[in-house]
Amino acid sequence: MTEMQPSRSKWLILNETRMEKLRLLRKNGMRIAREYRHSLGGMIGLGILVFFVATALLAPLIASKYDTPSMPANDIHWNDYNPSYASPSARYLFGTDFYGRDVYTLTIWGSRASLIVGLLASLISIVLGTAVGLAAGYFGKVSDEVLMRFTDFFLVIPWFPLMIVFASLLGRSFTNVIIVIGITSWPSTSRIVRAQILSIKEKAFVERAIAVGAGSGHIISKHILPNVFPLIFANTILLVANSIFSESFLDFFGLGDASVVSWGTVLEAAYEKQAFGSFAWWNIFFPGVCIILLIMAFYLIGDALDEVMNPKLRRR
Amino acid sequence: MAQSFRWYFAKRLIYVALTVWLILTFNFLLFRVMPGDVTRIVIPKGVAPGSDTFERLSHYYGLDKSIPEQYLRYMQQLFTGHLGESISFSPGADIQDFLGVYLMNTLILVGFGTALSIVVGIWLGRYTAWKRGQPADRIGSAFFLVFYCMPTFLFALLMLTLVAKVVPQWPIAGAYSPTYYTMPLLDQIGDRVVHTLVPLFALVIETIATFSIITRSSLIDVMTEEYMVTAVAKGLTARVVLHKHAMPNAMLPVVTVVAMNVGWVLSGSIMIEMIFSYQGLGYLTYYAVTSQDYPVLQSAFMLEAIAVVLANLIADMMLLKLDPRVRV
Amino acid sequence: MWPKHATVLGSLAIVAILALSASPVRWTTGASAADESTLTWGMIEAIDSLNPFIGVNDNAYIFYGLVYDYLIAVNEDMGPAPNLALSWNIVPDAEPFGSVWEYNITRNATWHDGEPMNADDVTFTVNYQVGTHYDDMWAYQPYTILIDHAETIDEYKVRIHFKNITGAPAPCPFGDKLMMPIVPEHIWRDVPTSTAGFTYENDLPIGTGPFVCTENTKEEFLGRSAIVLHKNPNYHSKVDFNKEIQFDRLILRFYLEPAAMLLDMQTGKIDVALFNAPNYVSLLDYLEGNQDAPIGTYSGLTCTSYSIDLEVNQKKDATGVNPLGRDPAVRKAMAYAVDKQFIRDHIYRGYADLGSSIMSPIYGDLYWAPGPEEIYEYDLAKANQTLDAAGYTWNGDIRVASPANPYYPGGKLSFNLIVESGLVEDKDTAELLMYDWAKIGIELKPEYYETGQWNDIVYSYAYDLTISYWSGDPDPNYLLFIQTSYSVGGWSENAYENVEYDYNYTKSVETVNPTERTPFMLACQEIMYRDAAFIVTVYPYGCYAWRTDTFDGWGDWGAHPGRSLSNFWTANPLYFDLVPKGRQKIDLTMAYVGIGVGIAVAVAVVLLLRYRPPKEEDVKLP
Repeated sequence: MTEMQPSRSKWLILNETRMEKLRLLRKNGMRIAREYRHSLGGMIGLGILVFFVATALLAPLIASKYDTPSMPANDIHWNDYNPSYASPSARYLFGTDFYGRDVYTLTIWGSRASLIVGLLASLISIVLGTAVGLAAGYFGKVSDEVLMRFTDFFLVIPWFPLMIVFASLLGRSFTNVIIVIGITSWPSTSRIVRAQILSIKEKAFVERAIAVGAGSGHIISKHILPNVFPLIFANTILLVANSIFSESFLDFFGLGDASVVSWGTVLEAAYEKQAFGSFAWWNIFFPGVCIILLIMAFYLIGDALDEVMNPKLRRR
Repeated sequence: MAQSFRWYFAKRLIYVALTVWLILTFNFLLFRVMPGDVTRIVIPKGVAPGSDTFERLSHYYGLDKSIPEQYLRYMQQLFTGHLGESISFSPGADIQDFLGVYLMNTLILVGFGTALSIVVGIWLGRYTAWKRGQPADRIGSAFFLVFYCMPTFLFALLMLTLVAKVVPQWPIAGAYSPTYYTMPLLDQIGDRVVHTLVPLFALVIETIATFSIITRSSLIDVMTEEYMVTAVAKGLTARVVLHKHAMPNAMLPVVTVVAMNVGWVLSGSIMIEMIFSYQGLGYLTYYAVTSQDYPVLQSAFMLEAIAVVLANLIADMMLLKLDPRVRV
Repeated sequence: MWPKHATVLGSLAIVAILALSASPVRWTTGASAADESTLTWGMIEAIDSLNPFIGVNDNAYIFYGLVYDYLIAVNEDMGPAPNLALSWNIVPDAEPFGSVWEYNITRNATWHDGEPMNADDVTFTVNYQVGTHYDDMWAYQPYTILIDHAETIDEYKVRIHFKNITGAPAPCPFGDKLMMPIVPEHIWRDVPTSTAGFTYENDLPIGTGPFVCTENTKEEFLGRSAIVLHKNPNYHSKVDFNKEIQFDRLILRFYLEPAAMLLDMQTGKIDVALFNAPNYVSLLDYLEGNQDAPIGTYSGLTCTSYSIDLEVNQKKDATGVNPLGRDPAVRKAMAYAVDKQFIRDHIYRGYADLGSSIMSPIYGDLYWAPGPEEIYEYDLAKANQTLDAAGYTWNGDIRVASPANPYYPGGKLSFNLIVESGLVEDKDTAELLMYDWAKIGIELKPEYYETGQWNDIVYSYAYDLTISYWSGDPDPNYLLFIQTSYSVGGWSENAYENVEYDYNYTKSVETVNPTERTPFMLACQEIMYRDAAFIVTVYPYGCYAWRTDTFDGWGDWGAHPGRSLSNFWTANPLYFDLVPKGRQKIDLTMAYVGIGVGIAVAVAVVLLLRYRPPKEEDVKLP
């Protein structure tokens, strides 16, 4: 039993209810983890993610020892002529690109940019999307219409041209890539959230809560959010996958920051220097496969989490 | 319910009109904010600044008027069907003259693409859901996963190189042959098919994967519902169960996703169009941006946006019809 | 789930869309299309305008050179060749000597619409672009700036009166090298110059040239896929020079993707094309692996004196511009710090020559090569010495001007470098310079812009350095003009002004005697090189390839640069020598394949819509 303290904030008081809640949370968390382990897809996805995160963190250590461990490791060693488009060998594990840069090093370092963009851009997206979707779905009528028009508007604006336009306006920098992806992908979240809320709103327990006289805040935090949260969470993971894709996409078409090493910029350079024509497949294969794997990882994780956190689907 | 449905539909139409108007305004404002002096784009070099020519051109394009006046002019022209003149992409050309060609090309690509994705995607989703757990499902799902996660442009480039190596005779650039305009009708159709096939394939493979996955999960979700057990207990055949009970409910999230994806397919087509030199709206958009041809960009944007608005409208209507729970 | 008549409706819709998409049927008259011999020319950028006064990109000028004629063309050795003007001479009694040239026009030329062509058309074309129209008709200004007016002497004789910058009659040394297309008076007289120079579409270009546009040209042009031209059966060269085009059709085929064009070259879908360096290297690799592939290649200096240029803004008192760019010592140091060999070897893959003068060695005797005393060899030590001697001291990683510096006391050596983002080689060069110049204490910040913005920034002189490119015409006047002070605010990209240069330029255009001109032209080049406000990095080669199994008569482009594809100054001798080998039919098999595939796909879709899972299967619920 803890004493009642005359503290500044009542949130800090650890009373029985809160302890119980934490215990439940821990129990739930362990249950989720246990169940998650049963999902093959989820474990594979998690494995891949861990692999890439480790790669990103350990980059300075595992990159080729011939290259300077700096970020961005874009140093083209202009005056030391490295062989252009050398095939994979012991010295150049993944071969070299047009400029003689070691593709292995580039791939290792590139994981950082992809992960950073993926996470940050999704964060922006989730926050914006949830806020809008929640407000629209719950408060209904006028705010719904207005916010949905606003969302529709953004959904409707052709994404790629908008990106190019923003890129030209804001300039082609790494932070702008993150911002642009974030502000163009939130509508999907808000739409999903709103649709789900509309369905939930009609459900019996919400009506009962209203009948009993519960306030909006209470309903939102105690009834709506917990039901919507699993959906958002799973959607978050998918958004990360989408952000990674968008980033490589922007880089490839020359809208990203060319001085940052990322899988997308490596592909862009390969494309511009006609790696396809020269059949320097290593220049394309390794970064390309990494993009696919990372996206797949997030997708698998999101899928598995979806199964686990949504009780109905457990029976799959 | 019919009357309120009609009423709802009318309300939706009004909102569509509002959205379109908002889009047009946004369009207009966005391109007035763009960096770079428009007259400089028209006159590449040679003309001394401060000379009459600049002023005459400004006047010709209506750039010397205030923004509200320009906006009125812009709206007026739109409603009389004038989309303006291109300033650098094809200087002097009336946009409504050539926009049609590009629009048609994209409609073919995106139209068939979406239709094909929906048909094949939903069919595959249904099939794998039904054969859940069996080898067919596992292999199918693995395929879907890979293609869902593969960047479209990468796959397009792969297809390009593959086709060029394996079938050298197959055209890999353009929406039609150079001699298209002199061909008889049947040959023209055949020519188009050949040119559109590979880009189409590259475009739809990802959307097919998406729709398959979503249909499959949605269908499986539905099959766990209690009313499905009831239906089986009632002794209904598999076919009836699938079509009358499972599918309609499963379609709800699918319809939402499909609607959202139309915008995506349009954007995705830009990548495809550029890699295959396919002269469509996306190709035009990209070129207009790089040559800073704002009138063309405005028109292309407008078309693309309106297409997505319409798709959303249709999706909403269908959702309404399919889900009796959602109150109007 | 699906409405009953969905399949029927769907199929109808498919057929309807396909039918609509196939534009109105056009049937060729006479011989069937499949029997015509065709030369297919692959190009990367689609032409930007059918109007010869508007088009800017290289391929547009090639197109004009096919459809229109100049008075005088360029022969395979880069000398003047008669075209619409069969002979010409300086009018002896006009003062000063050389200020009036007379041209005898052929009687055998007709416009593509059937109207006969005569001296009035020439007079009209010239007067259309001079005087009060000069500002509007900017496309050929380097020539029209020195033209006063033209006059018709009689039906097939024209005189052109030349002037100097101040407007007084003056001799013109390039009266036989006027590179501008002659347009029909009966069409263009109704077009005011304010529209002709900017917005007139010229839907059906009518010229006198060896190739004719068709009624589909406008649509083809707007579609940016390809343009089909037919041989002009009445081209005047048959009667005048006993030469004619020997194939029926010329197709200009546009590609967005250089890789796609390369593949089409290898599979024989195009007959000839100009490639960029990386693709050319791929092609050569391919040829090594396929020794008997019927593809000929050539790479060498272009006949258009193509050069890549690093320009330093010389505009005085321009806001936002670092004034230290006007310090000759700084520019000299910059010149010493450009590793031209690296640019040539690695960025252009060896397919370029080291740059020096704005005129490339293609100009032969007129080309000025820097001697061992003047040459700015790549030497970072010398660059550092130059900056040290001029009082630039190190402040951390960057050099700073001394307090006594007349341009910007205490200012940092920090400059932006404006680069067109679409030009890959320029991007690489920018990075190289940034990396190298950091070693001499200059901070270089590359900024990338689209073409339109680049134009805006550069022509309003709001930048420090930029990378640009130039091509010239057979007469060097054009290239030398762009560094005169008269071109500031117009064609000049760096606002360079040098009295000595102006003097030499004026002198070089004041006389018609080539021996008198040459020393002045050489002096201009020397001054420009020395001042290093216009640093030419390399002269990229033209890398060409052609099919030897479809045409004969390509010739030796090294010995005769005027035969190369880049000779766009009308009536390229190459076109007349090409002989089709065996009749090439347009391959329609693909169209038939397409029809077959289309039907197969439609059938498959219909079947798919009808498939149902087996009735008897047990329902497996999870």
